[in-house]
Amino acid sequence: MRFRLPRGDTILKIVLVAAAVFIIAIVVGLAIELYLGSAQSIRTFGFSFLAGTKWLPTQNVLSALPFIYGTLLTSAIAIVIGFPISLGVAVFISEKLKSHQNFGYALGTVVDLLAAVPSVIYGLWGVFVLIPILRDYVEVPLHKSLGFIPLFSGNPFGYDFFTAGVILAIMIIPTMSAVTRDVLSVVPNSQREAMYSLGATDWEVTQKSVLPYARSGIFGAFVLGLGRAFGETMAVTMVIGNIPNITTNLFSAGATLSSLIANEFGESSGVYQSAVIEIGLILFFVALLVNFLARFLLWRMTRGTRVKN
Amino acid sequence: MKNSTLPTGISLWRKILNKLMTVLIIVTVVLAVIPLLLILGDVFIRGAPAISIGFLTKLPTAPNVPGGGIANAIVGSFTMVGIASLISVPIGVGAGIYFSEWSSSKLSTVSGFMNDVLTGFPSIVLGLFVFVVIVLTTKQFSAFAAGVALSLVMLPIIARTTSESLKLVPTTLREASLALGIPRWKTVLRIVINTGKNGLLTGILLAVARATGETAPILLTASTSVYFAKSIFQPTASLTVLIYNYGTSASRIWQTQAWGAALVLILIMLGLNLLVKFTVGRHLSGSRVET
Amino acid sequence: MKSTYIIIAAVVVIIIVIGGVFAYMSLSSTSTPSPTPTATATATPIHSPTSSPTSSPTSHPTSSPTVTPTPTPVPTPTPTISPATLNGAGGTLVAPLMSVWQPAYQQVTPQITVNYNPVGSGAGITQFTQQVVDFGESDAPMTAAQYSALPSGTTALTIPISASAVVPAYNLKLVNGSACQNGLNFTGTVLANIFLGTITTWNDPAIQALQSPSVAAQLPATAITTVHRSDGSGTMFAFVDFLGKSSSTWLSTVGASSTSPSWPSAPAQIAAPKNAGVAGAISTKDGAIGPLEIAYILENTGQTSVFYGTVQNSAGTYVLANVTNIQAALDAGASVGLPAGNASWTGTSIIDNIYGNTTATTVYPIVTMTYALVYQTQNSITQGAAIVNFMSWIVNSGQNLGTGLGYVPLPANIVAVDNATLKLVTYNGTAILH
Repeated sequence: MRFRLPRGDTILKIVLVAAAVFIIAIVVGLAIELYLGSAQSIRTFGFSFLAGTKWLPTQNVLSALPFIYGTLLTSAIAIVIGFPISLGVAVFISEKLKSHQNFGYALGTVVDLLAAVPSVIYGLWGVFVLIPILRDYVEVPLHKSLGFIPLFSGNPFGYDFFTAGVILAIMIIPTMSAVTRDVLSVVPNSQREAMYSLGATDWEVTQKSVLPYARSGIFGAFVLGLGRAFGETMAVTMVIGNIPNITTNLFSAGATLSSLIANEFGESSGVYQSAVIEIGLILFFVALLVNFLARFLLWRMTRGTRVKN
Repeated sequence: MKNSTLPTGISLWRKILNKLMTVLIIVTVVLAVIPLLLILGDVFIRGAPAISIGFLTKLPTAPNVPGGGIANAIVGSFTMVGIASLISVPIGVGAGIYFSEWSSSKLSTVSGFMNDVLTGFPSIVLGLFVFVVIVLTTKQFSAFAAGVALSLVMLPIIARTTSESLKLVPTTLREASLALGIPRWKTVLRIVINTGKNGLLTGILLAVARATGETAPILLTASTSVYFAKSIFQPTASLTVLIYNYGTSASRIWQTQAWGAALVLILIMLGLNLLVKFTVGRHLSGSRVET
Repeated sequence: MKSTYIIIAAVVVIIIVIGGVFAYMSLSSTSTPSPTPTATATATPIHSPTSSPTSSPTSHPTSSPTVTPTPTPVPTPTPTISPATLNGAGGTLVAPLMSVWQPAYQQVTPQITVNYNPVGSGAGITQFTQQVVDFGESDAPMTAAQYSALPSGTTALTIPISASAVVPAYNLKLVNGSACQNGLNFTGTVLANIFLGTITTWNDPAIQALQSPSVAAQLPATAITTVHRSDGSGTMFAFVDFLGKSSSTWLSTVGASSTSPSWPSAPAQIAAPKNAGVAGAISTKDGAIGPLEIAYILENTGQTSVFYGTVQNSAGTYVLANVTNIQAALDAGASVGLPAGNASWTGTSIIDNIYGNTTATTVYPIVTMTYALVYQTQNSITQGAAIVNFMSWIVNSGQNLGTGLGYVPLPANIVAVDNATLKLVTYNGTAILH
């Protein structure tokens, strides 16, 4: 019987602990650096930074609200378009293709490939292909027919919140559908069988049994998609028009937190640079909150919460 | 057993609803697949005219001079991802092992939490961080700084997939090994990792794919160049930044080259992703990384 | 069975990586031939314009101008230049010209590699101040605030390296369905009102009044979309400077010019990064108009969507920018009164100098010089010598290489100022050039 740990164990543990500690150190370092960088801006602008509506670097009037609004609006559009589609794809693969596992796997692969396309290529495609298509075949008709609704009241450009939202939707579909697929596959077959034995149709089984059971996880997938949409930079910068704007008009140019950093960090200095870093800090917090909400919901799902009817 | 007093069959309305929902669901699938086909198709069609051996081996030229190439961008991207892998793979795998084998320790919980935080960081903020910490202090844009920024993108992915795939290794294997008197470190390194190595490789490949496609952190840290970098401490070209710069230009020649570079990049990305799917098999639940 | 696949995949990946490394090493060694002492360009500023690309100033996008300039250096006994990499960043106005200079300079001085990142004039000045680049570049001279933000004890040298024009570029489908070609007439006041948002359609009477009757009749009712830079730009600085002089409303609304002016909220506007982005945005939107540096139109040979118009100068002539009239502006506006290289260049403006000059009938009114920014005291002899050598070559030998793209060679008086400035660069107390 040994009463002393073999040396190999200690060495391994030290190395691994170092790796784990490194991660903590990096995140803490990131947070500290972001905070230090934005300190000057926080001191100068205080809370008005979050509330004002103008971004004029040369006059030292800087506020984040138009960009927060842009991030939220484009992500909202992305979710409204992307979530139903992701849900549909996930339901299709996990429920309808139960007897055709191979086809389901192939289809899942195809959708997952959307995630393999780099953001800058989405942006390129957006500028050359999507903007003309959306502008001429979607925005102009919508503006002509439903222009009285504030959402569609602006003159369609193409470089606007709407296009950015559509591109974001395409980018988050693979994430959301993959997680939803995983979540739906965890639902025990007994749930489905019970409903079938009661004489339910396919859709009713899905709607009344599978989806409610997986509700927490689906919500988690949705929030995860949201988190991804918040942080997306390149594709959005190339199609959103880059004008800070707070308006309900979807066809107006706008700007997001991340597009601002991409555009203006390089030339910023002094208080201006500090303000841009503060924008990064805000972005970090927003993404953090959303990601945690998502993971919490998914965790609840996989721990097997019971559905209360 | 026939029971003719019970109502048989499903009402018409329910049947219609069922069919309707099936159609709607199929519509969503079509809507999800169409953009992918459009994008891939467009990249192939617009990028193919630019591809040639010269394109892949020559250096860039002025915007109005045809015949330029992206050789330095390809090498630059590989270099940056290479540096990033050198940093993030050891640390990520190490942390992942720790999360899985010592999952009950406090350090594991805290570090795992921090890892999730890092996962959710927008990559542009990571680029900002590396700019302040490395570029400003070394007074130099460099492939090294870009590599560090990319390693921050890759690290949480690798750590997470490693820990998830190792957690799937049955505990019985560990117990059997320890029961045979094999020290813990050998158990972990030889047996657990060996069993879970599919997942590890998946995670690394996915992280590499993700890093290759990143633009924002490289934009802030590596600047750009029209030559092969003579050292990793100099500005370096990369595929993604080149696509961004050329694609938003007004020069037709540069735009076509941007599509060509996009084609090269997509082929690399698709190759990596398909490699993951087909060499590792479908039973691994950690094989998709939600980042 | 599965592990075989893994092994194959790993081997493939390793092969690719090793292949990449070898390619890198072999290719990078071929791009840096060993320096031979006789192959250097002179370090003494000798004005030797030897290359002469053709370019007749035309008003249509020309086919690609010659870009094979290999000036033969005048061999003079010189100190040998050590291999070095120069990193610069700055405005997008000079970027097309830089990309012509880089290979030309490489041929003359193969051991010096020059990288240039067109990030915008604002970022060029910032990165110069942060000392993350060897030289900065900007179309707007540094402001007083930027001079005081320099690290203490350092002096910035401002070196004009070229000059070009900012033109009103547009993409417009006329009433008869054809694309409006070069030559639509504009005045400063009308441009100011367009960008202020008070003129909103192309057939506005104010625009029609400037055109010949046949052209005016072709102007459609399309809404005007204004495009400007989203990042800090010297090109915008020049344009806004001109608008400020042309329209007092503009001056009072927007204020003095800067690289990031506070654009008024016109009803329809897009901001895009870099000159390239502005050109791209204009080319995709019918009815768009935006200030663009002329090279971005001329470099895009064969394109059919972006054209540029004339601007009325103070003598009343509508001038379509070309090398001749840009040169005339340079002569009229920069012949005297340039500060010394190490002094403050704040407020230097050709536009201001020629505005109001009612006798200069041939000048194009929106002309800007573009400046390289170099620290007077260099910390490294290798970098210092390389910078001086490169700048000297640009100023003395590279000036004719960009005429096809709309870049005007600097007149002799400015070259003389630059040569004098370069003599001020020191390392360890002694001037690098002697």
